[in-house]
Amino acid sequence: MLLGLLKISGYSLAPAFQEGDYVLVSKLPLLIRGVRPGDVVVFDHPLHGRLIKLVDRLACGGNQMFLIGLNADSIDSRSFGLLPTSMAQGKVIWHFQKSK
Amino acid sequence: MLFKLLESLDRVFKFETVRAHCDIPCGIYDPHQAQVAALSVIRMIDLMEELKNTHGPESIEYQNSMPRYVMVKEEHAELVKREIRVIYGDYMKQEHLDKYPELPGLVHKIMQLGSKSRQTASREQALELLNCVNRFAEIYWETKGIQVKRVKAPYKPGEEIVYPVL
Repeated sequence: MLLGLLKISGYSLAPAFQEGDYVLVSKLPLLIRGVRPGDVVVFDHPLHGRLIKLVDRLACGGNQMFLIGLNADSIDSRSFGLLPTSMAQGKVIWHFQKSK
Repeated sequence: MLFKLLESLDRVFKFETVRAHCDIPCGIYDPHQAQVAALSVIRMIDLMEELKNTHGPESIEYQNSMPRYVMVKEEHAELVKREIRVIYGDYMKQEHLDKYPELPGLVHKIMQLGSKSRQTASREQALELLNCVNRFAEIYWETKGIQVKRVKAPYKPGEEIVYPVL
């Protein structure tokens, strides 16, 4: 997705990203410089659907990404393994959260 | 203010949701349901045996009750498989597999015994299913750093199950 506005559902990236937050996501940064550790990316998992996770590290010459949530019970690469970086649909470029 | 604007736009245009998936509900896994389901399979087999001994297959009581026992046995054997699959697939991580190399084989055995418990009315196989589920429960609670105890369930069929010491 070139540019997309998405709403977060779930808690695996809490406290950084909360349920109900909005994120502006773009594929452009990934097209220009590729996926990097520290990116928060959106991707379509064949079993779990459209997910958002943090890129912890890259592997296999930068072609695979190890994705994590910020909670121990997160469904992420610790359970489903490495994913190709080509699966990243976009990177979070802006985060809108409720003021506390 | 910007967030409020987005909320208003969301109500109208229904923004796509992206899941920071953490399973539902987050962090709540418990093998107890699988254990109760395994006990239920054994109980149904016991009831089937009792019915066979007390009522002839031509009796209306037999014809009414036996299919019901079989149906409940089917449901609960499948429930065992589903509950274990969810905990194994969604909770267990590589570090758990490294620490408990028996896990994949144990889960496979539970899947097979769950199927056998549907296909047959073998109490022995149903008990073996319970034993394997109990071992899975022990491993699960160990990963949480919680001690367990083995006690006789306070209801029929009165077989041993693993409880966490909380």
